[in-house]
Amino acid sequence: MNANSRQAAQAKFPVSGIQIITKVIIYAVWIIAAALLATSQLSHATENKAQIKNGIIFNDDAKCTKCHDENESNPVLSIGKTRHGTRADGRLPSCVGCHGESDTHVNKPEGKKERPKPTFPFGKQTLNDISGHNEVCASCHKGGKFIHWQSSAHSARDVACTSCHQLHTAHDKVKDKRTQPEVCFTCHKEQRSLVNKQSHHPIVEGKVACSDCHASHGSAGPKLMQRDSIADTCFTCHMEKRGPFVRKHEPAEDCTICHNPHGSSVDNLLKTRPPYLCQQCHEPQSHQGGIPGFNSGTGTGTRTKGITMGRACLNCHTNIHGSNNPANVGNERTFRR
Amino acid sequence: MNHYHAILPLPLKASVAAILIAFSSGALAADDDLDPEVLRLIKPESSVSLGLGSVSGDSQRYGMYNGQHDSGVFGIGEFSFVRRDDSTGTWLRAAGRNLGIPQAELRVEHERQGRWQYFVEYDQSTRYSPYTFYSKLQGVGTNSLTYPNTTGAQAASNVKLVDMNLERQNVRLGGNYLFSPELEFRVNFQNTEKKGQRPFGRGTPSVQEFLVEPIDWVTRQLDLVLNYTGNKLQLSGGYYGSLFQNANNQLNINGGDAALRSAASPNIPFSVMSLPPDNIAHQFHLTGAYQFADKTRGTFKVARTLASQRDAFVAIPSPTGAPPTGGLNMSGRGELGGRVDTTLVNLGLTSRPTSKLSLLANVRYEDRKDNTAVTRYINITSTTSSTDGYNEPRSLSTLNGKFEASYQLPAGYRVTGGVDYEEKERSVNGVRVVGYRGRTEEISERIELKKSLSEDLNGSIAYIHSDRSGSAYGMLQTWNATTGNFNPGASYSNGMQPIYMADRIRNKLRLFTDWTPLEPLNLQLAFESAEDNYGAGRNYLDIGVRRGNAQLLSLDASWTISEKWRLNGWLSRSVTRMDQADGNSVATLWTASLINRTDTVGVGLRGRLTGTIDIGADAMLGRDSSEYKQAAAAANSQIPDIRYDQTTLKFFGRYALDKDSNVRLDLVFDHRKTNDWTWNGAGSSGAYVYTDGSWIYQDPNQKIHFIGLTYNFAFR
Repeated sequence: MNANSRQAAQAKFPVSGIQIITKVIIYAVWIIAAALLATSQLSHATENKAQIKNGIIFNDDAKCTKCHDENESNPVLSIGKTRHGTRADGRLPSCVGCHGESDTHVNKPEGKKERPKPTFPFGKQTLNDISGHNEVCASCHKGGKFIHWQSSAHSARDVACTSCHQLHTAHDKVKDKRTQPEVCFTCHKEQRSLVNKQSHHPIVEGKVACSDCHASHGSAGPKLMQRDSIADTCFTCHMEKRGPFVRKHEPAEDCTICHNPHGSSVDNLLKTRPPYLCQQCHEPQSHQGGIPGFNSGTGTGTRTKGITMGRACLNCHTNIHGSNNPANVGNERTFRR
Repeated sequence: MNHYHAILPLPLKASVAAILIAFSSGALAADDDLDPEVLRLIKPESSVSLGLGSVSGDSQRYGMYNGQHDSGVFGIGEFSFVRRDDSTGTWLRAAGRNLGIPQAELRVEHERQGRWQYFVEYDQSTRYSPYTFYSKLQGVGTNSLTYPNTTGAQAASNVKLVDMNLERQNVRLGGNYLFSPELEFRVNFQNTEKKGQRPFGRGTPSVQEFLVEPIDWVTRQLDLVLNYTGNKLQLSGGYYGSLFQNANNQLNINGGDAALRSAASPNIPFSVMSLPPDNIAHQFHLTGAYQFADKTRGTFKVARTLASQRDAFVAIPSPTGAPPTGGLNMSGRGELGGRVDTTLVNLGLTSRPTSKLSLLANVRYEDRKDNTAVTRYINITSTTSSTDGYNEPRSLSTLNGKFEASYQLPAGYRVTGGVDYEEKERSVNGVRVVGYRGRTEEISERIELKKSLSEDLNGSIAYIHSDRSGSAYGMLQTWNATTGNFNPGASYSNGMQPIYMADRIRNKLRLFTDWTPLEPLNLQLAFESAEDNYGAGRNYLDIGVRRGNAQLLSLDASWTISEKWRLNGWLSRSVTRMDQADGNSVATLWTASLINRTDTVGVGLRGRLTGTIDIGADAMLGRDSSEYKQAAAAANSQIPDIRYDQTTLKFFGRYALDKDSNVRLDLVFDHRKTNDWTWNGAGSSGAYVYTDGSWIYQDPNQKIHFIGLTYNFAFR
């Protein structure tokens, strides 16, 4: 920032102390967090060992873990590394809390060729009772961000919790933003194709995840948006476009009228290249209806580079999301200044 | 490489040091009497990766977001420290990623599971422009730009500007506290600073000049939520505040072409451009659900948002001649007085009255009322003006309704039918230059048949039909400053149906199958086809969008060859097409068919060569081609196709030194090729050069090689 802009910034922010306070708070929290990390080392060293009876992870889990170790086709022990395997949390179910008592699974009835499945089996081969699966999870996960699950598109389409989540592993792919898209692309094939286009959010680079915009467990917004509308969700990162402005570009009611957030062949995630995009709304009153072409000149005549190349219409209409310029001049309203 | 900050800013450095201290000691309580092998399986694991990477060649596309924009050697650092006290369920987690590149991430979290948690998180994202900028513009990165020349067209500049990049630094603080198993308080605060610059511009019908917008933004968001989770009743309510601040609300430009610098009529020059204004919003919300019966659940959300924008107006530059009637800013306001109040009500009901039947209903109403002060900003003297000079607030209310029933049929079939309704009411203003209608409504009917053919094969087919229409289009009329009213009759072409409110009939077909013919082999086939028909136009010219269609075909295969080898692959073809027309007479009517084809193939292999060596390889090939078939009056002005080809090959090999450590070698080859004429031009067209001589270039053939070597160590 040069002196000029710094002066402007100081003039604009008479409460610049807010910024200082924010930074102080952030630094303080970092330091406190670090201190707590260090001091907790001591408390760890003096904690008592937990007592587990007849089990490895939970009390009485031996009837499961005697078979389901890591050498078995359904290894389960790694759940011990996860939140679901944190035995001190009294809210958590043990093996039977999710899978049921499963007596016939544990003690195969005589005469049965194959061992019956647990009372509540999960996994791909047991997808026929998805609502039953999900009810097991929803018996605990029903408040907060799960409130809208039952009315979500995922629930209505019989998506099982275990279609996305892996519980018996330390690394649940869908909870890691680098690997989450792989899970979503299992069903959302179009989005997989789009995120690999030349203009895209940094999804394949692991900096943006599907869940940054979408609440997969349900929401009150359309398209499972994290916020209440598409625009409000976009504004969480692109708040400079929220306005309102002296001159507002009306399609800004829904960013996806012009942009495809998943990816595009055109810069800035535009659905179509300008001027064709702009010509899908604007009357051909004057230069708006010009034919794209490569004639020389940076003007706005038909067949000129000026309306076709570079940023096309946006070469001049640069403040396309809205302009807050109050100048008493006619072209102020066309997002050009 | 132009970094705005050291790769690890101070709090990050301090925290890394603290974390290393916290986790470095082996003094943690020895665990149980469990077998060490079992302990290895159930005890949370920590890991550290350290190494070096090298990129050969600058790759603007490949390196846009991954921190490998410039050639050279960089460090690779990543760690994940996890400690859990099993007797109390207290976790300490610290994780860092991308520590050697300007995409660093760090998170520290302390939690007593089921009681409380707090965390602090840092995330740095740097975006590099995929273009090279040549310009003589001075002051780039500031809000005061200067053109060295004040004449019109100039020779193309050979002065290369610094990389045009944007760096976002995001710090998040949050936590939660459970007062009881039912009552929880959550807080989340996010501070995002975005700095850098991006292309901008200004122009008149004869002149286009290159500018650079300085980015120096701060965005803050605060979420405070109180959750109640009872057996039958769940509630979640709170406050969401969001704030945007821009250090520069205007861009000052000195020099440049006379047409912009000293515009005669209108006589306020383009030497000040407005930049995004500060704005703020406060939302209060309450969400809830109630289990009426064992299988019947109702949900709701109500929210009220108060958003405002009262940033000071830009300083309007003095005219070269007499000021316009009414002054430079005839509104008499120092700021907009922008205010948008939004009310949201969402009600839902789900029920499973029988074991075979499930029902879902939802109603959502959002009223976005733009209460911005209305005043005259532009003095109008013309008798055929396209504006009456007032600002035009936009209000929008949206009503959505949804009903869906799903029934389990014999033989594993399940049929689902649904109806969706959407109605939008927009406020309208008298003088417009774009077609408008006050109300649109769209009704969609859909039916889906699913079948679990067996445990190995399941599939679904869905058909969706929707019909959008609306109220009559308003007449676009000019404003007469003499009469102070609209001129009678249509003054514009009045022929366009804007794409987002046009009458439209849409038909969609979706097909999906998932087949596991053999235990180790899984196949997926997905096909989608959609067709939009915008019907007859508003007049005989039928301008605007006419028809659109899209098809997607995708095939996935996953094959577990053996216990040691696994292969997966996918291919996808997507085709979209939009037919549209433009022109204001039969003689000038022209059409364009915009066609985009995307073919992508991906293959991945993972395997174990020996007991100590794992390898993996991935290949992705993509071709994206766009066509712009112009016809009728544009038949002799064809626009060349644009093609983007991408080939990315990745390989890794991992050699285990022991059970807890390994070295990993990564190799990447990436090739991007394009004939995009957007900036470079095509054939005889020549490049696009701004009036001021600035030009922008995209390397049409970008190749990079990456090699990385890391040492990885895990411990518990």
